[in-house]
Amino acid sequence: MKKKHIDLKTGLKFTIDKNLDKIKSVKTASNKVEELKKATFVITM
Amino acid sequence: MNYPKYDTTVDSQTLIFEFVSNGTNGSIDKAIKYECVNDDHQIYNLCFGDKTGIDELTGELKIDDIIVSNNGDIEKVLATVASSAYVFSEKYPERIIYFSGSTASRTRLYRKAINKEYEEISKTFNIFGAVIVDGKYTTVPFERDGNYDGFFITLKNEKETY
Repeated sequence: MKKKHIDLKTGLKFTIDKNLDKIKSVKTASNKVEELKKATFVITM
Repeated sequence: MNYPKYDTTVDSQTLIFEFVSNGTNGSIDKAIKYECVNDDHQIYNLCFGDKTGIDELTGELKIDDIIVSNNGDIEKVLATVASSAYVFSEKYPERIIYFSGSTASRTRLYRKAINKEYEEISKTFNIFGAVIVDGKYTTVPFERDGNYDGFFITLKNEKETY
């Protein structure tokens, strides 16, 4: 039985599953990620 | 953040969250992936949508961020996605999260959601609009009626929070 965690700030319950570690990248239908990886960012904070 | 949320499954690096949306159209597998899109600024894009599969050879997660699920649980889904940003930022406080809708109308929906919870969100995060100027994604101050291409959020320093 995997341990269920609760984020104290939001109450979100989550269980860590190492099977998800096999995921190395993402492909979205909108191709937004590819667009952003090529983009220039001007960050002023 | 007192909305109901779905229970999630997370990878050991807190980069991937999965959950199942249960609504009027049945059960739909959802996935969130925080994907680095800029090393210099440590910008991570919040990718979110229906999980359509994993390429077992390459480890590529496929997300349909265009589909309209109409599953009748939008508030619960958005609350789950927003909560994942808190968990991600607690783990990686120096990283910047970028997110936008796959369409302009979805980006406006996100702006409305931010407006609705602005006071609560801004206790934890700095919120900026993103506008594309001369092809560059540029931060601008967030205004409730602003027209944005997306949003940047960063975790506030402890001194900034109240």
